[in-house]
Amino acid sequence: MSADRAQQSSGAPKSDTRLWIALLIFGAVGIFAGKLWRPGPLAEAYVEVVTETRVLAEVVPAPTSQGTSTNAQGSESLAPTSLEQENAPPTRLWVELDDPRLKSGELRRVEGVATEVWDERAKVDPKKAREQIAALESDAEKLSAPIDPTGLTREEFEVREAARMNALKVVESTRIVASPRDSIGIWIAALLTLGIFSFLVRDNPFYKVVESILIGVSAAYWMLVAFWSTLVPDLFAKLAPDLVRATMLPGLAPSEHPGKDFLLALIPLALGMMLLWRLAPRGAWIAVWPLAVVIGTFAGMRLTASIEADFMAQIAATMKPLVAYTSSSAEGAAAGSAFDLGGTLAGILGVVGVITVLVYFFFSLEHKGVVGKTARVGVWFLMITFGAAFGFTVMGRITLLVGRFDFLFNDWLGLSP
Amino acid sequence: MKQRNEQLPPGIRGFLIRMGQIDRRWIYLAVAVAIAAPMLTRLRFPEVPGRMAQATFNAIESIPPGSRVLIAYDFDPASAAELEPMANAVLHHCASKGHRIALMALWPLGKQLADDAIRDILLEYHPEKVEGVDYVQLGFKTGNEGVIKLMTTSIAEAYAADASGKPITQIPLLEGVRTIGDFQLIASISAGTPGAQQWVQYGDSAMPDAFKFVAGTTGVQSSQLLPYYPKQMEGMLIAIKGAAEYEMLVTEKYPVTRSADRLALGRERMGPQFVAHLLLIGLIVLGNISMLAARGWKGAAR
Repeated sequence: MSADRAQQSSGAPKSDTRLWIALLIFGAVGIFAGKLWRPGPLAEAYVEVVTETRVLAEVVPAPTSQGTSTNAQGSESLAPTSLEQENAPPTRLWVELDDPRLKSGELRRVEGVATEVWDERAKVDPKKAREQIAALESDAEKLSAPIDPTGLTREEFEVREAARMNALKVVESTRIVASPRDSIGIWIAALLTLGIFSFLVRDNPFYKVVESILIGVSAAYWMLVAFWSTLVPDLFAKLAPDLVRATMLPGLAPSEHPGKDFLLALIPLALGMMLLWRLAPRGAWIAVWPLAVVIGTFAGMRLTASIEADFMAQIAATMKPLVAYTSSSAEGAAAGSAFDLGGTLAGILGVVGVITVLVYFFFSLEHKGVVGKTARVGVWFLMITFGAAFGFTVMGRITLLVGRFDFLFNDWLGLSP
Repeated sequence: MKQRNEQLPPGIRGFLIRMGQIDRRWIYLAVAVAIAAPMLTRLRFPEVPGRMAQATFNAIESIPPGSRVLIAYDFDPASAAELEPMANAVLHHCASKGHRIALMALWPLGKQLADDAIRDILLEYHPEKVEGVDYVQLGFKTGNEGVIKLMTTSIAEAYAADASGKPITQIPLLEGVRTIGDFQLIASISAGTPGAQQWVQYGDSAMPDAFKFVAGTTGVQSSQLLPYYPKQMEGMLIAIKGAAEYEMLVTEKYPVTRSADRLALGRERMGPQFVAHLLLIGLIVLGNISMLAARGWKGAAR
């Protein structure tokens, strides 16, 4: 034992040093060669910036003399206009500055409300971005020169000049730019990936930091998901819809049955509070009741689903013909379809596998004699199943590693062609 | 280490025994090289479509153009490397065939992945598709399998509006759609729970003949789902191998002329997969030979 420790203490550091050196050389040579092979910056990122403009508009009331009203989409409804509808404030909505309904008079701008302008940023693949930037520059150069009027009538010249100006406007409004913010994101992601990989060499502080970040971010993320996707829409919005609309979800649609929703939402609220009672110094038993509701509900829901999908349907699927034909129907077999050797073997193997594995799990009889031999065959089937499952797992894990390498090589190091 | 090596027998047997004691980190390095080299050289192998990939292709191909298809993005970025290629191919296949597509997610980050797919696949290769008419993004809905169960009775109760907040009653694609039974095909790209298994248990079992159901799964999950094929699942794509085979079938019938990389991800990732598998098989064989050599040497020493 002590000799082993001595060997470890004397051998491990040397082995570690060799590994670290090999890794550093491998990494440095790889990056250097990669950059010689495919020159370009690291962590290259581009975005397409589209400037969005919205103005607040209101629906212009249609003349009521004809007894028809026109909605915001332009379709007419024949519902009679009541006094209440006439007195109701006009519907307001945010529309684009060049919305055709503003020009047609269907909508009008609300005076005194500032125009909202912001940039939408959409990520663009670096290779595609470079191609598009070059194309846009070339187009802008071509379009900046005025049309030569030689040989054109005045009308033709004006039409072509207008088309050129429109095309130039589109080109100038398309902005594909390098995004330092996204590049920093790629650098952080790459370093975090390397931090996780560093555990393969040995446990180290870098790995610990990255692991803690992962756990912290995941916990915070799930908390926010639960808050915004469950508590806000399914509880708060039903208990206090006006407050939620004013503070959290401006687009919350009004409920058709607000009273019923309120009363129904009181049940999960009460159960949730009872569940949290577990944290109180006294009365922890109160938390058992909501737990019983949760367990009972899920057991009931899963029982019916499992009996149908995993029991009855599986038994039916196991009942296969031992002799298979290329056409699975009896009529096909009668009509002289070809004998299907693969299907027949699969059917026989399936039946043998089910019976022998069931015998293996039948513990009321001692596994001796015929029962023992059958159970032994069942064990072989189980082993093959576990082997196949392990093979699938290996394939899955390698793909995940390929995915990470793909990110490091292409997104970070820019080695993609 | 040196002391231990001195005790080993000389020659090939000693070498084999030493190989069995190799520091595992050299194996990690070998795996890294085995994956990096084919990636950088873009090594690819031809794929022969298997029965399950063909069945998935046939299921989507057999329903008439204009059919409603629901694609559930039941995965997140942690398994995107394995599932994104098949999700892209399924989306491209459905759009090329002219199906009307509804996308949804039972996993919170599935919604973002579906958004990416709309941008990179649907709008890239099928710019003529119109939101609300040809496709709709329903987004993420919390509730796991409860959402599926609810959708068997009323989609409107699960999704009152699409991801952009538009009420589903105003979406032409969903006109007349009351339950998931009104879709002709459902595809779940699944990384776990909730996912393909729950779609079988709560969706397909509740409406056995209402729609065709296909699934794309991770390698880890596949052995759990295999019993559902072909009775409860018409097609199944298993891990990156299934994705590569299906990609080939789809791009052969519906080729794209530009930036086809996103529809070749599965085949690209099979190159490193092949080399890494060869390495692992070699290591398993070597480990067993080393064990046998050590056992024989110890037996002879006794």
